[in-house]
Amino acid sequence: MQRVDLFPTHEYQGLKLRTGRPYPFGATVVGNAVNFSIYSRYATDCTLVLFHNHEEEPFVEIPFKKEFHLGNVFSMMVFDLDYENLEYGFRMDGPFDPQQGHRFDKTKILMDPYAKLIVGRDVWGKQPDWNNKYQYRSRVVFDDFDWGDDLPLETPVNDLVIYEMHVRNFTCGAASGVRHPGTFAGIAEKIPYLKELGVNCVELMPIHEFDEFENSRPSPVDGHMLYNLWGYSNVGFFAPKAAYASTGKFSMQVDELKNLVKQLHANGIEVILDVVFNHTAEGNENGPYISYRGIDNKTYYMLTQDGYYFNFSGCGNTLNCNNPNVRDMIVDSLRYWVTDYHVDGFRFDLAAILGRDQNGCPMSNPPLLESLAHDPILGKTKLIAEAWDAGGLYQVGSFPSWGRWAEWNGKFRDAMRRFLKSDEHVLDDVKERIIGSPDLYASQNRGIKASVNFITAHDGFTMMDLVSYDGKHNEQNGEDNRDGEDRNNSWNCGWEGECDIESINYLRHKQIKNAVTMLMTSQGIPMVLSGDEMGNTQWGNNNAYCQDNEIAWLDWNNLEKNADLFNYYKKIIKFRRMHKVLRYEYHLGHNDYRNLGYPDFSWHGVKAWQPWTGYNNLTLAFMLNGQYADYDGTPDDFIYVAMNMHWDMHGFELPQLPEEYKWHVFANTEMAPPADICEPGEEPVVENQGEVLVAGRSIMVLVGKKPVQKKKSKKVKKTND
Amino acid sequence: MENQFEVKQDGAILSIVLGNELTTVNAPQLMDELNKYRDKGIEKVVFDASKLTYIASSGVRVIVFAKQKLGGDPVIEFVNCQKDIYDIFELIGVQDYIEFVEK
Repeated sequence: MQRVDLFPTHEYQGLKLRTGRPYPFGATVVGNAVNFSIYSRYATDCTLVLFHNHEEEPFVEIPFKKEFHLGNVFSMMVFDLDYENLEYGFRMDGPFDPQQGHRFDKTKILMDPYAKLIVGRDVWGKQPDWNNKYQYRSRVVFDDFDWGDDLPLETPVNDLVIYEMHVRNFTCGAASGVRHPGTFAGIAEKIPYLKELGVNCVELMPIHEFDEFENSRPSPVDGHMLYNLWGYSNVGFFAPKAAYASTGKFSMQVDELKNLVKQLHANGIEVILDVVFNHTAEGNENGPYISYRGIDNKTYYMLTQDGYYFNFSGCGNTLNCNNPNVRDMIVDSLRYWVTDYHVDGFRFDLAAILGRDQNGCPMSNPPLLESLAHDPILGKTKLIAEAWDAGGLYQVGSFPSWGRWAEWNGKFRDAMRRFLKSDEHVLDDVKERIIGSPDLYASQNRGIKASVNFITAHDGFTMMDLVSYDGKHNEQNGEDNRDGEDRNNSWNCGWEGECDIESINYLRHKQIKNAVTMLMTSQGIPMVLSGDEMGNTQWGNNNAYCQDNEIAWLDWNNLEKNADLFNYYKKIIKFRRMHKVLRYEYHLGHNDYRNLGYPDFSWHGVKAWQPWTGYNNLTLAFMLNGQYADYDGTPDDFIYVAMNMHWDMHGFELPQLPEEYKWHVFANTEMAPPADICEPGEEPVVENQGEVLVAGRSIMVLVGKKPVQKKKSKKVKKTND
Repeated sequence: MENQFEVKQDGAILSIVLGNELTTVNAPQLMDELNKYRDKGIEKVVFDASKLTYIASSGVRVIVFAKQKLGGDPVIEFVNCQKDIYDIFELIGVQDYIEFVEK
């Protein structure tokens, strides 16, 4: 029996049609029809343009009849389409009056803003036909991926160890050893590696469809091609980057990405997507027509009174995020990635823009951010803001959160970097960061879980470069070294760049271990930049956004070359995951409010209980009382961390432990491997329970616990019988 | 392109010869054919893939359907599957459903 509402009522050039359903927007398979629906407030007419796959000319263009236009939505069902052999777009008619914000041009074929599959850049770096009048083509997805019993993992946010990575950079290197380099499948092949490292969340740099050829150009330095590698420039908000899938050429990128998410989940690893809702790839007034500007320019973009594009993103335009319809699109996109791809969270690039009104002014209660904080489907989804934008709005600690949003804590990065290179007068700041930045996040019930701590991220130096370069070296980007951050708070340890001087290389490794120890023993959610664990270098390039080559690709040979770093990362991550006292959700009391004999957290210095900030403010120690992390009848150990960023050795007097407890040493960054760190849980007892000597620019991590009683082996008496 | 599929039944075993392509053009027909054997105690479905050079998402769905919806969790066997097709199965994570046999 055929449903009455799925019965054709019209015909056009042999195709059967009927009035479509306004919701959902986009193209949806409904029975034996495809429902096309698109919103435009100011368009006067719309035409659906249908192509067979890869064909230059459409096989039909179907005008939306008057009866297919309800409110500001054009919707139409087309029956009996071979939707796997179908590409579609729209022509929109309306006023062309840039001063009023309108840029309709019916000669352009426009991509569906809700396209769930986009073709045209299916194989990475393959030159498209630039004469093709429809470059980024919408396709229809029929979703029936078999998820089994998979769902987002809902790992408590304070238990996360995030690994920020780029799909191509992770496995494109010749030594990666994967069969499908630079793809989702390549990541899947490396899941055992991620598990061994111990991270439980990957944050993927943008995987929405973008165009690697946007602003691509030969390098003026050596002529090699520079691409839009990082992808912070969306073509579409619903479609995965086709060229990130080894099956992209078969348009199976949806399945390949879902399979990756499913496999990561099966291994206890969450997936966070880095999403870019602040601008699109259409650029400014001189940019191309891809979709939004031709469909409804005035709705999608923030415009000046003269109709020019506001540029709070630094990329030519700014998405009009707090327009109610654009807001709906963003919410729809996020819901789609959670429901259809099972992703666990989002990191919002330049998220401060999401809090600007339609004139670009910051709002105190931005409706978009509030909607996301209270959205029912995103209710347990991690929401992480990069709480600043290119227009100068800096909201670290003040991002409107409704208790739901976490932030990339840029102040953690800056303070720890300065401390690491022995800057004076930074200790007060460092102390705030170690205890989860209560100065930033103690209000609005945000807590420690609002602070995503990091020392390195894709923007800026890698960890190895942070300790190898005083200044950036971005000449290869072809912008005369003007691009990229100038204030890196880095120190090269005595030589600019790679060198063979053993003492310098030893110090660099030690500084990296110091940094990751600071990161993993601080309260907050630690984030590791992919490759730091193997000492990846970008040769001083702190803005490798366009370097689709060995500069940005991980060199997996480093895993062997810097085996001590990988071992250290692996064990300090394991240590963090073993000790819940390092992973509080809310800020600490700094007193003994349960009469357990010790405060939950205490500061120390070279003298126990005296957080004296001598030696140019370069020494500090702290102790965590694991009894306060006893939520389930199993108290944690005491943990004591002594940080000496002074260049001389200092003795640190140890706080006395309860009877029968002894200090054990877990890590000492001064020591040569393998004595730099031990297997968590197998720490040897410290010989002198009263004091430890911490070498210059070194950190020691101690564990206070009852020594494990070694079982005495029974001696078997020999008998003469 | 092969649009008609002959499904042979030998006891609890179904055998199907696939053509050059399995796409949205012909996958629904195969799905219809397989649907006739739903809950009929099928224990094994053998696809002769000797000629198959291209499979689209809709084709993959038919394989998943055979495994999951025919009832009884039948063994899915692919005979003479070409490497390109095998790679696709692996990349999208359905290779575990399938036993690959060379004849």
